[in-house]
Amino acid sequence: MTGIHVGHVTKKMKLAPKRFETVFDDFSLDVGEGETLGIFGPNGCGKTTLFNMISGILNPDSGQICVHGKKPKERNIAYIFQDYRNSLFPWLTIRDNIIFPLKIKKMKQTEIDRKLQNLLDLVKITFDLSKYPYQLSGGQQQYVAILRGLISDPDVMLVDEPFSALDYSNSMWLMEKISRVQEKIKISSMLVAHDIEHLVYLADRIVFLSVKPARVVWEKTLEKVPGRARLRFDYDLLDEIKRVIKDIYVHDPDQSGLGEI
Amino acid sequence: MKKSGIAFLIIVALWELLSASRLINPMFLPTPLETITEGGRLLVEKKILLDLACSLYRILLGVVLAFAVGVPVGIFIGYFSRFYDYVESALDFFRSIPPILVFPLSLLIFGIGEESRIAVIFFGCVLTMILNASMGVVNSQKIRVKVAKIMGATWLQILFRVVIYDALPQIFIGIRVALSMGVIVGIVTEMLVGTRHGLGSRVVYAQTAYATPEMYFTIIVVGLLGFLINNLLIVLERKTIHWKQYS
Repeated sequence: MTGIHVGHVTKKMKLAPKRFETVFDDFSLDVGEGETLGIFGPNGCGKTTLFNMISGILNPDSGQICVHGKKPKERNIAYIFQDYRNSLFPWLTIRDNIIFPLKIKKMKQTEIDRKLQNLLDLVKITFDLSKYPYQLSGGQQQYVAILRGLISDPDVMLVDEPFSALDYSNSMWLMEKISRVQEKIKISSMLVAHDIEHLVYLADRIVFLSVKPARVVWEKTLEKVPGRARLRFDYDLLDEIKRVIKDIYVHDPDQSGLGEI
Repeated sequence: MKKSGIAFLIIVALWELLSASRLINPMFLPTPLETITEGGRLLVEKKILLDLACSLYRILLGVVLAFAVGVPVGIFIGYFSRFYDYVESALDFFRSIPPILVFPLSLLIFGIGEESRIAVIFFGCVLTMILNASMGVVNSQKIRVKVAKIMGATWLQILFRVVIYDALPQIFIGIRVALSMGVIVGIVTEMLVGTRHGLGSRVVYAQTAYATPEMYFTIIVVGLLGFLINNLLIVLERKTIHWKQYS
């Protein structure tokens, strides 16, 4: 069974009254069980719309989306947003932010404590849980958002541009953290990033999307190094992929939507 | 705080210079010392304290009632944004009416007792509370609501665990503005008719008796009252809405 199945999906979005834009037209994509799929594509190509459909916020006009064989709303989905500042709850401590999904489900306090401890045993947290989000760095806040997503044992995880609001050192720190989480927790996930290095570092497979209506224009499965996921950084591979990006998005104005150079 | 203290000292020094120069008739401008001496007498005789207590009672009761009605109504209007479209113009219309203008109507309805004054304070504050609470909810972070929805939160959980917290800074602004309005409206209603005790009526009595030091001292007390209430709220806001300065 695939982790995430997007089958022949069509989706039109309203731009203005009586004006619609086709974002997806007969679009298909699968994410394997425990696989991390990296998504790369130009701005506005529909990556966030795709995540919104997979998470059940939006419904496709036609086609099918399944998460482990069921409808998205019947599954537990962790959605990590690019805007960590506005997705965390600043009035709650880090601890209360992480356990928020369990509180929503009215889980017993002993069970909440047990789940939190399990998560803390699994992943390393070096900062004080009694602090508030605004007392942490950007990378740490995004990490808290990821842990909040993981605490309720999600079936899949959707991570939308987690690095784009971070500076270089914070990005590196978070990349390292996500990589270690991936080693410990095997979960089907999709990761959108604008920096191909992040995807090469973290994804098992990368797909390149075209401009709207989005379709997969290129994909590459990355070689796995069992148990050493975070050491997957391969500069030759990175150079090769960067050449592909140049061919697809820079030399082909139809794909980039940017026009001739 | 230090800079504010210096500013106050400069104002008092200028006041002293102006009154000592006798450029203005002492009947209209007593010296700071005369004013403080008169204030001391009013404090010892506890007259000003009674007035202060009466004014505070009216203002706080009116504001608390406005809070109890205005904040829930504002949150409701803001949360159900379609409803906001219906009431926006009506709210703007009532907000444009100076609260003191409805005092005669309030006197007709409630008589010359406390109720008429409290009703006008309520009217002056409740619209501010409604507007700020609804704006706070309307402008709350949609991404947090989205996060809670994906987690499976019900609309009630979203309202009480996310939206209200997000709206709190704006609700607090509403409380501060409403309290300032409450002080103004409360004091003015005391100046008009039908009350023996209150800072507003003391100013009027002092004016009719040409007791200008008493009048000046009472005006200073009113200023201090507004100043202290505002600063108390700022401290309370910093403690309760600790995240505001970082968001």
